[in-house]
Amino acid sequence: MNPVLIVFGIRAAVRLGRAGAEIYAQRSRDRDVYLPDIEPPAPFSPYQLLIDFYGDPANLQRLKADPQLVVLWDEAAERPVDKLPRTIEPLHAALLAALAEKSVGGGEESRYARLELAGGALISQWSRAAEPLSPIGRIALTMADIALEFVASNPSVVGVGGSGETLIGAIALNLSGMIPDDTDEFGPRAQIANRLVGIFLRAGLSALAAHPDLVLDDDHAEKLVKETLAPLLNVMPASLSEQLEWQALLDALLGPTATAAFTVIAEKPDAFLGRKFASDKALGALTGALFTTLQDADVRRQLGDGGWITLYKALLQVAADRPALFVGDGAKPKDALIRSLLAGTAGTLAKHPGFEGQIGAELAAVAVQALNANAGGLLKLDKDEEWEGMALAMIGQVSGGLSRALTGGGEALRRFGQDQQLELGRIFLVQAAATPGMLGIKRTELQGIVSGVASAMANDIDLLLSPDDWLKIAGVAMSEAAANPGRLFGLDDTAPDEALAAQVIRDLLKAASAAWSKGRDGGSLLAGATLRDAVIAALKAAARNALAAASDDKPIKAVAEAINQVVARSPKAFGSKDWLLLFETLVVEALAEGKVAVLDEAKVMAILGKRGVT
Amino acid sequence: MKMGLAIAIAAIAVLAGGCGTVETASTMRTLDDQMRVILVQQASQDDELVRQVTADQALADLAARAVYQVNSALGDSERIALYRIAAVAYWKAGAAGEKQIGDVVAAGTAVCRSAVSKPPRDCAAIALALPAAQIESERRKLDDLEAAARQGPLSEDQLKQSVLIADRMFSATVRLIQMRPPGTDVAVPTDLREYVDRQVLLSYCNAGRARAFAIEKSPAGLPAATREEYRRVRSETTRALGQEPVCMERKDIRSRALEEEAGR
Repeated sequence: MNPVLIVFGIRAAVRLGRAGAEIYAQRSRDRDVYLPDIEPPAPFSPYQLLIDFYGDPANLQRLKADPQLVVLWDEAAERPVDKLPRTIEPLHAALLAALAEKSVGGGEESRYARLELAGGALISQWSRAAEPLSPIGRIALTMADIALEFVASNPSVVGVGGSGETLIGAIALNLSGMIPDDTDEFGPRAQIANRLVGIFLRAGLSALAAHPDLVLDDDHAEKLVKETLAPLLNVMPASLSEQLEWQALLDALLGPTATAAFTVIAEKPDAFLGRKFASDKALGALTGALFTTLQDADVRRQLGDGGWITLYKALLQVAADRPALFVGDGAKPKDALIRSLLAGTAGTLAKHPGFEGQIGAELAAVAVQALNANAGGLLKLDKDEEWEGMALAMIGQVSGGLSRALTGGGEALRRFGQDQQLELGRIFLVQAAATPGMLGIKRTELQGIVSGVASAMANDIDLLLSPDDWLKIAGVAMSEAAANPGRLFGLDDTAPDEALAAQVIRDLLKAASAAWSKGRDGGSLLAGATLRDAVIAALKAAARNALAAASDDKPIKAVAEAINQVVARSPKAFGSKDWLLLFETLVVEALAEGKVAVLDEAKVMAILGKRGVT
Repeated sequence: MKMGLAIAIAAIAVLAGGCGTVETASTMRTLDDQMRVILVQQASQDDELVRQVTADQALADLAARAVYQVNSALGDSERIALYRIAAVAYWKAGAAGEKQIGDVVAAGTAVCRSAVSKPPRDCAAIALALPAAQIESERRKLDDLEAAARQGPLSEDQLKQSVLIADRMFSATVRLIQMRPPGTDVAVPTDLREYVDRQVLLSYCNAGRARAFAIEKSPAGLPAATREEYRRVRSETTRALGQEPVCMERKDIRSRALEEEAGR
């Protein structure tokens, strides 16, 4: 990736994070809050009211103008001359008349009386004119900020009429739909929406920059935004602590998720942006279910940082090719199905040591891809079986078989690097998915084959075969097992050690080890590529004539030992090709005739003479 | 705390970016909501003793939590909002908040003064919390004097105290009037202007009530200086409110006036 984009991404994420938190803080401190009133005084008596009112010189002048009233007032003491009703009542009536005349509080409930009922009021922070920018405005600004920065490094993407402009337009159109008007919800939801939009936009623009040929039109971009972002907001948890976790999850995962989604869309634009609108829904269902499932820390740990994105990519391919698998009847997303697949994968891998994290997730991705490639045929065979159940069965059988071999003392498999382990899994999975009837939720033939091969590998004590040799052997074993059900391996996973293929390989390994115990001076040729080809030849021959191969006489082992003896007598006379030619010829003959021919010099020369002695 | 949980929390804090801001804001919301509930409960509680041991103490505790949270606040606006909560809570905590309110208001006012963006409501609430608390504090003393007056004539000292109470209340009213936001400040919302004016009226009425009580109970009335101060405050209050302050509990002065006239 362009380093400028990386730097840009980091800066955008930091900026968005701050903006998101700031929006929430702003909503919290600027919302209307309840401010109490000063406690009103105890009620004034009429006597006290008169003192208060006529303490004002202007009011007192009115009193002085009335000779009947002025005598009732003691100006020096600022109070009525006494408390008798004949004094208080006329003064009080004059007071009321004066107030009524001035229209002070007249005709309406006074502010003072209202206060007593309320005891306070909800008060806003700012006037409308001075109110800070709304959250939607902030998000729009942040988007513009990101787009502007992007223009500097990728001017072609965010140009007029470009796909970048379409994407930004689609997000802007959907902003109000993503953020509700409810004030209480506005804060956290707006905050997460802000982040989500920014990360999505950055990922989208990056993907568009990497795929300049991808053309987004308005309808498609809007669908993409709606179907991808809306489900993520809709499943936002209610409590603050969960929201923080959810936000952290979005921060960590949405970027790579969106990039993966855009990349798959760019690679298969017809599938997602053509007329197959169900693909849009499948994309949304898949992305929403992914995040819901990944809220479970155990699932995240099990799939690993890069593992879940690998699996997500594989599922995106399925969504592109077969949206109906993700969208049920009536175009209702099958969220539960996707979640069960993701969580089930993590759970399955957790049971099998050695397949946690990235490798397990990649193995699961291979299973999904293999199933996708053959889904039509597989699902037609047994319509009652859900595809995700079949995928989980495949993942479980392969990872289970190999895990047991890894932990069971087999040194050969432990020499495998992770790539080779994955390749081994791929060999089993791809062939199994391509073989009608081999897979099924209740069928364990695949596990039997994996366990059988793993069991045979465990017998390579002297490490005579390399991991690459074993990969080729596994490929042939799987291919022959697929073509000849029940011959080389059982049709279930019971007693994998006793499977014919396991016995054949074990016998040949024993024969090779016996010869090699004498060292290279002993003239043994049965190792490495020769041993590999011998095993392959033996497996093919055994698959053709399983009954003879399984006889107690162990004809295949006997042939190998006989050739070893001949070679040991004249080590300089034979090469590996001779050994192999002898073996291929004699094994077929022994299995056909039910006995091992005496291997004298004449016989050897007769066989090798056909192609010239080495 | 389990190691896994600690790591998870740390990771969330790192990943969330601005998590501190979110937590402070969330605490702020919680404190505001809790304060409103307590204030409503306090207003509905008639028993003074019960009120002191429940609502008043709860408000003092809430104020202390707000002050503590100030240390976690990242920006001036958050600090101001938290000081507003603390100042209002200490004000309404009555005697339980009398010792702390001065410091909190001073700290909040200092942040308001230096902040680039001054939130009008929060800064106004911080400023008026102190005179409002003084009014209510004097009001409690007045209640005690009135209770004493119901038992018999007040002593010389008690009469002097009643005059002092009225003086202090008038001083607080003047300070409140001076805090009224200028009409030219377009950032101030209308409901805040109305709220401050109501506090001016309430403060004035408390002072007027205290003064009337002092005059009523003093054999020779009040000194001339006190009279002048009262007139000045009444005049300022009238000017600030745009009308004469009316401290009556009635719905319609005109109808009451007509009733009085008819009965005479």
